[in-house]
Parts: sequence; C-alpha cells; structure tokens
Amino acid sequence: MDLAVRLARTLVREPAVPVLALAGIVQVVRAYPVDIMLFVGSLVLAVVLRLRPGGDRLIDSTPAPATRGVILAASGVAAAYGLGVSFVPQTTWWLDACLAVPGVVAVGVLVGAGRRPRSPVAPPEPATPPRWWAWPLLGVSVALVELFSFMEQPDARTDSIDHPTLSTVVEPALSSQALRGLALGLWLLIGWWLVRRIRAWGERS
Amino acid sequence: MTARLATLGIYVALLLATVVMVVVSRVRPAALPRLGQVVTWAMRRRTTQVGLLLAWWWLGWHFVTLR
Repeated sequence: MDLAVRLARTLVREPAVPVLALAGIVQVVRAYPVDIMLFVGSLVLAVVLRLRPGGDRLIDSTPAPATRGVILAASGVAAAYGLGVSFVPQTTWWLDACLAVPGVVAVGVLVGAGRRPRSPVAPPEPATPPRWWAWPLLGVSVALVELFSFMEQPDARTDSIDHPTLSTVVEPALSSQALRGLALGLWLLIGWWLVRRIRAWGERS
Repeated sequence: MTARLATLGIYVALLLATVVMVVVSRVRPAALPRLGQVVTWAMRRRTTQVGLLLAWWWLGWHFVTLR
C-alpha cells in the first residue's frame, strides 16, 4: 500500500517520463513513423536528464515580465511568421520544414540550458501554487476524451464519424488561410513563452 | 442525441470549462492560480520542460499539416 501511494505521489509530482512513455505507446499504435521517433526521442532525452546527478530539479527562477517592447517585437515576429507560413500548402514538406525551425531552436535552447554547470544536490522545491491540480485535471480530461475517440476509430488512421478526435474537429477551420495564419502566430508566441522560461530556470545552486 | 453530437458537446463543455477557469484565475487568483503560473512552476524540472516542448511543437505540427 505504501509503495502504491509513493508511486502515485511520484506520478503526480514528476509525471513527465510516465506521460511521455504512455504517449509513445499511443504513437506506436497510430503507426506514424515520424511521431514515434519524436515521442521516443523525447522520452530518451527526458530519461537522460532525469538520471543526471542531482536529478532534474532546477533553481526557482521565474523570468521577469517581458517589457512592452519585447512583447511587441515577439508579436510582430509571430504575426510575420503566421502570415508567411499560412501561404505554404498544408500537404507539402515545406510546411514541415517551416514548423521544424522553431522546434529545433527550442530544443537547442533546452539542450544548451541543460549543459550549464550544476550542483549534484537537488535544489529545494519551489512553493506549490494552491489548487494547481485543477489545470492538469482539465488537460487529462481532454486527453481521455481524445483517447476514447481514438479507440472508437475503425482503425488507427481512419477517423470515426460518431467520435471525432479534436484534430478532426479543428482541421476544417484550419483549412482557412486566415485562421491558420492566426493559429500559427499564436503557436509561435506560446513557444517563445516556453523558451523564455526554459532559459530562466537555472542549474547552479 | 447522436454519439457525434455528444462528443462535440463534450469538447464544447471542456472549452467552456477552460474559459471559466481562465476568468476565475484572473478575477480570484487566491481561489485558482493562473495557467501560466502552474506551467512555470511545473517547469522546475527539465523532464517536464521536454514534455511541454514536445506537446507544444507536436500539437502545432499535428493540427496544421495535412499528410
């Protein structure tokens, strides 16, 4: 019983590796080679980072709020990116290349940040936000509906009419160039937001 | 009610729940932390950063490309 409780607590507090493993299994069932490589590669990277001396916990260092000028510049770049990439046909490899660029930059920042000198002793846990679990609960609810819809599909690559997945619902809207451009711009801004935090969380204690 | 309508209804309900949670976290931050606060806190681990980066990139790629 104690072991089960400890495992459950670890799963809640350090969910990245088990969640990546479960998502990797789903991708293997979907049988899309690129998705499998992405998820398995990320799982390997996460395990490597987890096994380093001192674990993978970082020093509390939330970045300072971005200045108005930085926000305007980032919004301008995101708008230009969204507009430019919205012209790329959705069925070509060029679109994959355009989407790969921000991803490669973000992974470069992550790997670079992981090479900084660090203490072998894990830093203390930062304060836990009250009721933090409400947001992951929402995410898990979406994931469960997605999983159910996916399991109701006739096969891994054929959409279910009765139980559409979220991507099946959203894809018609994203065939509009304007909406696709807007979505791409927002997507890039979210990536920038994540990268700012990856750079801010420190290694040295 | 068809199964399709029920599924779409669940998506709409989840979207509404997200909007309500965003509003509540803005209006009453003591009752519910903002999503950004929770994600920033979750990023205290490099493994979570890997997972969040993958989720961000893959969702963009998965939703936008058609192949």
